[in-house]
Amino acid sequence: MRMQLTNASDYYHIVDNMVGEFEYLILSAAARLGDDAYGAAIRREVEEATKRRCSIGALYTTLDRLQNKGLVETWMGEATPQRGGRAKRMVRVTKKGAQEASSFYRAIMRASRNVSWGMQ
Amino acid sequence: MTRRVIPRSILNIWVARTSRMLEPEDQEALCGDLAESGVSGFDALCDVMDLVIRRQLGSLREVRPWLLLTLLAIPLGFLLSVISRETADGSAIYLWLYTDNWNLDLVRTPGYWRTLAECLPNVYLSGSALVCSSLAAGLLIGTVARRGRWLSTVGLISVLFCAGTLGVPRELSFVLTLGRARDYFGNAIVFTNTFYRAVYPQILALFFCVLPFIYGTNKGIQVRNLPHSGRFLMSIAFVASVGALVSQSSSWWFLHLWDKWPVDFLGLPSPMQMATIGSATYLLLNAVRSRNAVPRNSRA
Repeated sequence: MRMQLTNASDYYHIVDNMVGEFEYLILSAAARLGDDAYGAAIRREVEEATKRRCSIGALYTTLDRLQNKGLVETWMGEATPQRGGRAKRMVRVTKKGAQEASSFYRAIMRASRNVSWGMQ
Repeated sequence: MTRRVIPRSILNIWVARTSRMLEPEDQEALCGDLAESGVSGFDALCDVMDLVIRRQLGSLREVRPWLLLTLLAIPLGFLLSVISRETADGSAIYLWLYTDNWNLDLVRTPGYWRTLAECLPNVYLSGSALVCSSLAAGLLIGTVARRGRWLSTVGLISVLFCAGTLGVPRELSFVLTLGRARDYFGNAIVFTNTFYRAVYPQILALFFCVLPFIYGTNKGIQVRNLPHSGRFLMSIAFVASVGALVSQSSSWWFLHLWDKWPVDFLGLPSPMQMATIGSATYLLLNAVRSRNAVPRNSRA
């Protein structure tokens, strides 16, 4: 279904709330991990998916941005011995976050239709 | 290069120290993630620095750090620069007297020791008041500035050195007693020496203002974690310390009203001593908090 934009504010609303690719990676990782989603686990998932190093700084600042957009909720979890008695920053994808991630995924699928990148 | 030259244990100490520049929750989660991932040394330092820089740059988009810079850090920088210069000039005279001019004949003179006994408490009081004022200013900014405290830190230090070197703007001369040109009264010979005129005040500003101030901004986070009663006590102590700081540069301080009749009859302490209240209260509350704190290993 094609989206109808009635005025400029609709456009800016969509641009402001649009999920970026790194945000999408984090949302996907957090959704896959479910109740076990926290900083270090999400980082491992993202690194495994992209085969690239994910900086903690980028991860935490993106989590803040997602939280400000209302796409995830975060809270301090319990401390564990393997973390040196430090607490985890737990992450949960909100309903809005799931909708935005789904919307981004569909947009990428639509954009990639009939495109061949010539990769082996 | 750095990976090979600097031992891992030293890098880990830097990691721990750098992570203190983060908010307590960020520090907790980040250090836990690093421990769980087994990342240490140079890689851990890069991760921590990355987050610290991102947090500080991110805070520049907020209004609060800029307000604090304008309303708190810059005025406090001016005040500290004035008091630091006054303390430097005052102590430079004695320093010159006792280091540049001593000889055995002078040492045998009773007056030499009497003057030394008279000046030492004053120099000590001025120095400790300056350190405590700087620490209290740092604690205050560290408490209220949250993520953007480094903007205020850079602002205050810049003002401190610029005002100390260039002088205070003429427009502020009615509140700040130090003008562009210093009047050395009968001690001009001391300040013909470049060290006492230009270098010594900067050294004093660095060790008595900048270092205590930076220490205070880092410890300011701990003040936010105090219970309500502790924070209330700290608020009163901050007002007393900053009040003492302001009073030292006002005409009230210049006239030494507490030394004049009938105020002297009450035996009031000089406002300079009030400057130590903020730091003393912080040290006391921190000691109580540390005593009641649960050891980290027992939390897991």
